[in-house]
Amino acid sequence: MTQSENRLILSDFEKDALKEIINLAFGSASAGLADVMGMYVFLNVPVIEVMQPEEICKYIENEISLSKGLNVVEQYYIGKIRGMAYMVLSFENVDEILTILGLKEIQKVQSYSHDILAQETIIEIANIIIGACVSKIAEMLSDVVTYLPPRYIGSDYSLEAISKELFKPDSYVIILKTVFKFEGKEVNGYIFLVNTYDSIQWLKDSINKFIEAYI
Amino acid sequence: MSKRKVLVVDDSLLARMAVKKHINAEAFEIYEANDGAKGVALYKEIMPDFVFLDLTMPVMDGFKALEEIKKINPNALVVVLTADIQIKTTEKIMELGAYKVLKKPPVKEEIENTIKEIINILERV
Repeated sequence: MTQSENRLILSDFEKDALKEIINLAFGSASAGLADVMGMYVFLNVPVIEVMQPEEICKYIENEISLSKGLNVVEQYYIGKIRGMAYMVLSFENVDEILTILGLKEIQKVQSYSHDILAQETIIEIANIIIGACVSKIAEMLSDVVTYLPPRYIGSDYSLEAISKELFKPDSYVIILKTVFKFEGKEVNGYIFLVNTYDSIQWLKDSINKFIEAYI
Repeated sequence: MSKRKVLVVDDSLLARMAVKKHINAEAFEIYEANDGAKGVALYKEIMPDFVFLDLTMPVMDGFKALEEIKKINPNALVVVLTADIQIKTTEKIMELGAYKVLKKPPVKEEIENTIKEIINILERV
């Protein structure tokens, strides 16, 4: 997509405003995550990209090394803003999270399957962070969203298949990305919110209402 | 009497506008920077009376920018505006020597009261 096509969807100022909204939303999400993890959470500056559905898969794969496998959790949100949220963590990161939470010890004592415990843990983390982010964005834009339960899609995920199912091939999607890190730990995770084309006009209007109220 | 100088550092134009609307432009000269590094450079150049500083920014984040500003002027009055509501964030910012932490989005009364407090401090010095 050219820069001018990109601007037709969201102007630079609208993107700037959306970035600020996401910043506010992820600020709340990080506090929830810090409570659960018992440690400080760093968030990077969010990135907003507009692209076509077939580009999503390539984009995410370019962002994250797939060489050592990934854990992916998806969660569908439905409101005036609608789309799919993905939380992506590497396998090593999940191991580190289990250690941080003291779950590795519990696993040994109570003989839980490592894989099940890992899945349940990251689903819960995804639920907290995605819920906090999306709900806050919706709240700031005067929307209410409902969620389908988060689903673990593991390392054999096919974003291509998911994007075909959810997004019309000739439409555009808005990707909102942020990276979170835990203090003193080598744990980096990604959150992607992929919004459908039919929510873009509503999103544009709502961002402009937000801008009017904000400044 | 020359106007007091205020520096607003935030990567978001919208956020800078939101802070600026609560600062009386007739009483203050307002300067802006859109990342921490530019904010520190501008601080050194203009030596403002006080600063509004965001935390999550590209190039140099607000934590580092605050540290650098305090190296230039240990008495710098820096108000940090952040959406990050973790207690540890606030503690860290205060340890670095911020004057105050305000939650984003900025609230008119909080910005105005903070400016009044700072003016009182500056007038006593």
